[in-house]
Amino acid sequence: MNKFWQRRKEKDLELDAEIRAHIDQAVRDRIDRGESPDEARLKVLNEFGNVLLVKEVTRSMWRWSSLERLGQDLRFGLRTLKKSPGFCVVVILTLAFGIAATTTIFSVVYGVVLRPLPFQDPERLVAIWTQTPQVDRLPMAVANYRDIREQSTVFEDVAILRATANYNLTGDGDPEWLQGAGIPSNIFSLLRVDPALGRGFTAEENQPGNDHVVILSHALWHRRYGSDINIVGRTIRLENIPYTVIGVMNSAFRYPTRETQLWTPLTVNPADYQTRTGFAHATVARLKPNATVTQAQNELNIIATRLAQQYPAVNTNVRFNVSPLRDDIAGPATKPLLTLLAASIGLVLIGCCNLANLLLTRTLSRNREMAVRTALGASSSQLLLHTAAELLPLLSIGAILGLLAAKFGLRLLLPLLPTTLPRIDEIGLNLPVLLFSVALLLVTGAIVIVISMGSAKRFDLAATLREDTRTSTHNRARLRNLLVISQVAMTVILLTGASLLIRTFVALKELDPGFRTQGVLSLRLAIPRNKYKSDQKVAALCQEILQKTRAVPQVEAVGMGNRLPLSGPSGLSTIEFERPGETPGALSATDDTTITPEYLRALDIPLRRGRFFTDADTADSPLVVILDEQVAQRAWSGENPIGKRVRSGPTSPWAEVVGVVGHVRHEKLETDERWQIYWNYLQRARDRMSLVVRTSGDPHSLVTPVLNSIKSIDPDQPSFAIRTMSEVVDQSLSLRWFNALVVSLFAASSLLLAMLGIYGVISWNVAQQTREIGVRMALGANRSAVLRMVLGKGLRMTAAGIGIGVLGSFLLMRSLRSLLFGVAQTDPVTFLAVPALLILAATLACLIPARRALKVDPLIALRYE
Amino acid sequence: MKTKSGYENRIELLQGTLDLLILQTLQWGPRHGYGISQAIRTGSGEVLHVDTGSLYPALHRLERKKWIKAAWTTSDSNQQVKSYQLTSAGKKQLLKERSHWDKLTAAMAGILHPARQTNE
Repeated sequence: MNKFWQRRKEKDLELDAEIRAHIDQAVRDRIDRGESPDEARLKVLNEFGNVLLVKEVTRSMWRWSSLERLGQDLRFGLRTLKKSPGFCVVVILTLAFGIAATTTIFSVVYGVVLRPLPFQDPERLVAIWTQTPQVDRLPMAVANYRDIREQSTVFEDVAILRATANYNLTGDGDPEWLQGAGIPSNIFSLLRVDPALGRGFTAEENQPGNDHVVILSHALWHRRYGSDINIVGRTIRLENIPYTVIGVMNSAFRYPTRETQLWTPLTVNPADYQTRTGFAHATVARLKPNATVTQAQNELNIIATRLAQQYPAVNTNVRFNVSPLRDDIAGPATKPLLTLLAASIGLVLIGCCNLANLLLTRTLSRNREMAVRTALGASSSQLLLHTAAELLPLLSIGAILGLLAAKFGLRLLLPLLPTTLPRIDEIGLNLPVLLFSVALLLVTGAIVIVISMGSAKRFDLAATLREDTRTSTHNRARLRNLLVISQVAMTVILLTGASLLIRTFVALKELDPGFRTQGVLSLRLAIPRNKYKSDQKVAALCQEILQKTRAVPQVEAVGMGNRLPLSGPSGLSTIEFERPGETPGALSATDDTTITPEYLRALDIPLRRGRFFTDADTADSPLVVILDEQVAQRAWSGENPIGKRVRSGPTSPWAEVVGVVGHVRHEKLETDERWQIYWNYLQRARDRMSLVVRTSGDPHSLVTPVLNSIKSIDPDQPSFAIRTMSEVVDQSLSLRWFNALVVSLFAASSLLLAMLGIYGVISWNVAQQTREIGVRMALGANRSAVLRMVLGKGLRMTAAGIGIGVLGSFLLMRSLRSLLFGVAQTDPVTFLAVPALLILAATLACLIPARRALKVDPLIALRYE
Repeated sequence: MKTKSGYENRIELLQGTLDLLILQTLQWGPRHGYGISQAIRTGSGEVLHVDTGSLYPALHRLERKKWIKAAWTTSDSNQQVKSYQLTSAGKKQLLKERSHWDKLTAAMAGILHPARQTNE
C-alpha cells in the first residue's frame, strides 16, 4: 500500500512538471513573438484554463482513481456521520446486537450440529439403530449386527460398542466413578484414529478373559496421572481388578460421548451371538467411498426383510435405520438449536428493516442534496457508491462490536447450555462461524442499501428541486410502510413461536410426573461386584446404607432403585401375564425396576391397591412384584390384579402381584407408555443403584451427612450424580428451558425493534403532514379526528402486519410441532394474545407522534412552507 | 494577437476525433503536449484549438491504453519535457481510426452534397 502511494505521488509530481513545461513553452513562444513576459504569462494562463481542473480530470484517467474516489467518499461519509451521532449510534447498536445474537447462536449450532466430526472422512461415518414395533430407536442385538456385517456391501466396516461401561477407579487417590465405553478392536481403523500414546486394542483383547487392558482419555490422563509419559504399561484398578494401561487417546477424541473417560475392550460372550432381542450395543459404520446413506438404508431394508423371514418370531417388523453419525450425535438437540438460529436470523431481518427505514428517512431528508448532485451530473451508481461508502464505517464498527459482544455472549451462554448437549467443547468462534458472520453482515448491508436506494432512481428531479415533497416521496413512503408491515409480521411469528415454547415449558413444569420432586435427594452408587461378589453381599451393603441414612436427622424415608425417574430410555425386555390367550415371550417395552421396600414411599409414588414390598419379602419368600396402574388396567382390564401372576419369560418363575401403584414419567416427562414393573431387590439384585432420601427440610443439607454415612461403611465406595429430584426434573427440561428463554429474549427484542420502526414511520408521517394537519384543523377538524388520523395510520399498518404474521405463523409453527407439549400449534391463547400485544405496542409507539400532531398550530403549519 | 473572428472560426472537436488527431500528429516523431497542441493548431489552419483540459486527459488515456508512450527529454530550450511517442499498437490504431474516419467523411459528404455526386 505504501508503494502505491509512493508511485501515486511521483505521478502527481510528473503531471505538475508536464503542465509547468507546457506553460513555460507557451510563454516563451509569445515572448519570441514580441510580447512582454508579464503579458505573455497572463495570456497563457488565461488560455490554459483552470490548471487544477485540468490536473484533476487528467488524474481521473489513471487506473486507481476509482479507489481514490472511494477514499474520498469514505472521508466525506465519516464527515457527514459526525454530524448525526444519534443515527450512527442506532445503526451501530442495531447491527452489533443482530450480529452478536446470530453469531453466538450460530457458533453453538455449528459446534453441536454442523461441525464435521474430528475423524478422517467424517461424512462417511453412520450410526445404525434398531426399530421394533414397540420402540422406534433401540441399540443393536449382536446376532443382527453379525448378519448386517456379513451381508452388507455398502459398508467398509461395521462396529458395535457398549456406550456405557462405567468403572469405580480406586488406588492412587480418591475413589472415582468414571464413565467408560466398551469398544472393539476394529473401531480404531473404522474411525481412522490412533491413540496419542501406546496402541489400540487387538482382536485377542476383545475375547473374554484377555480384556483387562484400558485406554485412557486425554482428560483423565492429564487430570489424574499428570500427563505421565510413562503411563503405558502401568496398572490401574478398575472395580478392584488390575487393568494394564495400553494407550491414551488424543484430546479431540470424545467418542461415544464427551463424558467418556476411558475405554475397555468390548467382549461378547458366545451366547450373546445368538440374541436378536438383547438390544444392547450402539452401532457405527463407515460407508465405502461413494456409497450414500440412502444406498445403505436400502440395503439394510433388504437385510431386515430377509431376517424377518428367517426369524419371524423375533424379527418381524424389525427395521434398521441408518443416519449420518454427526446427525446421530447431535440428535434431539438439532431441532431446538435450529429453531434458535431461525429466531436469531428473524431478529436480524427485523433489524434490517429498521436500518433500511432509517436510511430512507435520511435520504429523504437529504433529497435536495441528492437532487443537486444528480443535477450536477452524479450518476446513480455514484450516488449508490456514496451511500455505501457512508454506510461502510457504520457496518464495520457494528460488525466489530457485534463480534466482540458475541465472544462475550458466548462466554455468558456456555454455562447456561444444558449439560445434556453433545459436543459443547467444540463450540467456539472459529473460522466457519466468522465466515458466517461476515456473510450475514454483507447480506444485511446489501439488503439495507438496495432497499434504501431502490427508489432513488425513480425520484423526480425537478419536483424535488422545487421542494414539492409530496410527489417525489410517494414511492418511498410506500416502501417504508412495507418495511414496517414486514417487521410487524416477523415479530408476530417470533412472538408466536416464543409463546408456544414458553407454554410448552410451563405445561411440562406443571405436569405431575407421578412422584415427589420437593425435598428428595438422590445419588447414584455403583456397587463393585468383585468386592461384593454375591447378591446377598450387595443386598447387605444396600441394607447397611439404608439403615445409616435413615438415622440422619430429618430423614423421612429412604429407598433405593436401580433407575431413577427421568433417566432416559432403557432397553426392552419380555413380560408375560397370567391370563387367557397370552402369547409367551412377546417383547414389549417393559420398564423393570429393582427397588427396596421404602423406595416408592420415599418418592411418594401412591399405592392404589394391595401393599408395598416389606421386609418380609426376602430371597427365600415367594417372588413378588408391583405393577403400575396402567399395566394392571391393560393386562387384566377391570379385574383385581392382586394375586395374579407375571413372569419374564417361559423359563422364568412366576411372581405374584402384591401391589398396584401410580404411573410415573420414568423415561421422560413428555410421555412414558412403557409397562412399569417393580421387583424386590432381594429377589432380583442389581449393583447399579440410586439412593433416594426424602426429608422434611432442605434436601441439600442432607448431602454431607448422607455421603459421610456411606463413606463410614465403605471408604472405597464412590457416590456420584448427587442431585435433588427437582434438579433431576429441571435437568431433563434444561434444553427446553434454554430454548424458551433465548427465543423469548429474541422475540422481546424484535418487539422493541418493531415498535421503533412504527414510531419512526409514524413520526415521519406526522412531520410530513404538518401542513395537511394544519389545514384540517383550520377547517374545523377537532383533536380526536387528528388523533384518529395518526393512530389509524399506524394501526392499519400493524393490522396488515399482524394478518401476514398470523398467516405465516400458522404455516411455520407446523415445523415446531415436535417441540411442543401440552399446547396445540394453533394455540388460541397465543394466537389471540400475540396480536393484542402488538396492537398495544403499536398504539404506544404511535402516541408520541400523535401528541406532536395534536400540538400543531394551524397558523404556523400553514406558514411552514 | 488572436482576433475575435479567429476565435469564432474555431470548431468544436467531434467526440473521439481528438485521439485520432494526437495519434496522427505523433506519426512524424515524438512531441510533448504543448507541441502537439501547436501542431494541431497550425496544421488545421488555426481552426482547431485543442483545449488543455481535453488534451492532457486524452494523452494520459492513450498512454494507459499503451498506444503512446512517454519519456522525459530535454527540449531545444534546454527544458525537461515529457514527450510522447507512438507505439506499434498505436500505429495500428492510427491506421484503423483513419480508415474509419475516411469512411465516415465519405459517407457524410455523400449525404450533405448529393447534387455534386449526381453531377459527376
